[in-house]
Amino acid sequence: MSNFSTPRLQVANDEYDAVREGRTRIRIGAFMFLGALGVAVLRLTDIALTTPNASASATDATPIPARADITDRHGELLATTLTTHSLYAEPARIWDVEETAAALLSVRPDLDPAKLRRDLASERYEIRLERGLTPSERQAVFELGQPGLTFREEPRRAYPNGPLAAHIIGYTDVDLNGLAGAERALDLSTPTALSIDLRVQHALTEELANGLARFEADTIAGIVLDVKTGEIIAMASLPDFDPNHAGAASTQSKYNTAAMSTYELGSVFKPLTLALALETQTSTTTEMFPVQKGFTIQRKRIKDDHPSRVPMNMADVLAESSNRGTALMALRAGDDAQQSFLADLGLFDRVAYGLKESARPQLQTEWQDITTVTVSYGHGMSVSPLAFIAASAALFNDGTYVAPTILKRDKPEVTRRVMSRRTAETVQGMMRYVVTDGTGRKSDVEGYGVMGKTGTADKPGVGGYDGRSLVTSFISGFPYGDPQYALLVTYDEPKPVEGTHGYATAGWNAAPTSGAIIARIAPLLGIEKRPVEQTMSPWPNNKNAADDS
Amino acid sequence: MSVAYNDSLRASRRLTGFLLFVIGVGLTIGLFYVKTRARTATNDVRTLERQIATEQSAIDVLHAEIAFLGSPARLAAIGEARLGLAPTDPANLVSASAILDIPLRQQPAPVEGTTDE
Repeated sequence: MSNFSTPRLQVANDEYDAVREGRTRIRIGAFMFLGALGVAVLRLTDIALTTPNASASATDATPIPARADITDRHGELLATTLTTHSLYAEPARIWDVEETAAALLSVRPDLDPAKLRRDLASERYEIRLERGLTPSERQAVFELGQPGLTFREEPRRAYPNGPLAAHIIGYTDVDLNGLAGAERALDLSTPTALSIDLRVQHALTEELANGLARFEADTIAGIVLDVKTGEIIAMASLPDFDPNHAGAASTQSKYNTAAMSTYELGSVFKPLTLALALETQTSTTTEMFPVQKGFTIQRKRIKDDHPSRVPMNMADVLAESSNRGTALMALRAGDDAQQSFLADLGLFDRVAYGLKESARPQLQTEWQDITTVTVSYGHGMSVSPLAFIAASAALFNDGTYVAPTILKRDKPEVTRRVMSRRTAETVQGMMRYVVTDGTGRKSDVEGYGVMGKTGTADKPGVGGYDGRSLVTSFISGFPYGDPQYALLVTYDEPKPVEGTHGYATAGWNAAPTSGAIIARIAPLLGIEKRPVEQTMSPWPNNKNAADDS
Repeated sequence: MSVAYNDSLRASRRLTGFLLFVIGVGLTIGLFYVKTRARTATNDVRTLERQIATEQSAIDVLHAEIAFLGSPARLAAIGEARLGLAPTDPANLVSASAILDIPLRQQPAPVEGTTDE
């Protein structure tokens, strides 16, 4: 018992060192074992707690649309991003170039056979054969069962309405970088509603196409503007293009004529001159202007297309489109007042309406009396149709200029009063008179109170104006009494055709086209038709004006 | 007494060490299990996200198809070709106030021998 209870005493002193050394080795071994165990535990903990990088990146690969949808004012889809499939070949895995090429061409006949064989036989690791395959097209290629053909998902912009509103919507390149229109100008990180109404856009485009074909013009542009908010309800330029295939479109068809071309628009400027004369109180509506007399300024003889033998009042000056009449009014108002008035109407600047496609006006370097005279009837300065309709909309908006916009909005952002309400209403009455009794009769639509003014201008040619090439326009507003919308139609080089008696002036083309457009869009826009007797003219008994401006 | 104390202390140290070791291993296994569950859940989420992306892509295609099918130009062409429809002529429209001028239809005369009572 005692031996068992005191084992240490049995160890001989000469063995003590060996035992101690053995214990030390055991401790070292235990320490190393624990160390290894600790490392293993730490590693297990590390594996258990941390997330491998690969899985993190895979989680982040959720596709995020690079560009959001574009819609019209009612939410109709104009542009969207779709996932399409690109077809790739890995030449090293293709075992028979001829067989693969033949099979592929059977389902993708648009591929270039020679290039396809060259690509399939190339030394590259991977080569793209085609972009933008739809799911069914991808499936057709997949079902060929050919090795070495692979697919990769790629986003692509789609424009479901084809050419409709193409100049406004614009287009992108294959990498979805915006190249024109809203695609280029707008931040499309979130869905964006444009101001345009797709139905009105369609009606406008269709009637413009009818006009372009009938009058054999080079181009035609039309704009519908909400005069209260400045929203562009529709804007079309023809010829147009399909943004789904923008690369195949001609440069001319991709040109947004309505906003980028500048023209001397002619007599459509006259209502602005009348407003200037009334606003500066340098002329009155009852005054008779001696337009029957010759008028020469700086050795330039001012001519009227429809010369009168008797003096005319302001309303008849507009209805007969007398250049001499507006020249007299502008000279009385003075060049400073005229320039200030036109600048207030935004005609001296590029129109900032939301898209980058906007032309600067072309102005005279020196504003002389002759400039004042010619500008009074729309010559001597060139502006874009968009700039002009924005300026004229002030006449229909009780004298308040509203900056136009391509974005949907409830109330105008930039407004300024440029003339009194009374002046605006007086000019509205005279423009109604132009339609009921003057050069714009072919634009009248029963019950919708169209107000308007024709404008026919010679295009500048070599050494002066080319009398055979015309730019014809019709500016209009409706309905009379409470104008809501303005419309501008501009033909570039329309031709005389059957039924126009040899004329190619605005009263024969731009005015009837405007009437056809208003007849279609007024019901769409919710304008209530009014009884005929309410479409008043302030000068109902004047004699009928000549046929054109 | 001191020997007994030393033995007891040593035994308790061994037990504590063993328990700590068991707890450590248990926690590690538990963490590994939780982590595995989490990874499985992450994979499920990723699969669902892929499905959502696929469905969203399909929805986008359907939206584009709806827009194409409802395009004014297409509807106008179909309406004209199959139904003979044309844009409304304003001459066929009547203003709201003009409706009041349309005379009301005469009430039909009551038929003899019938009564509501």
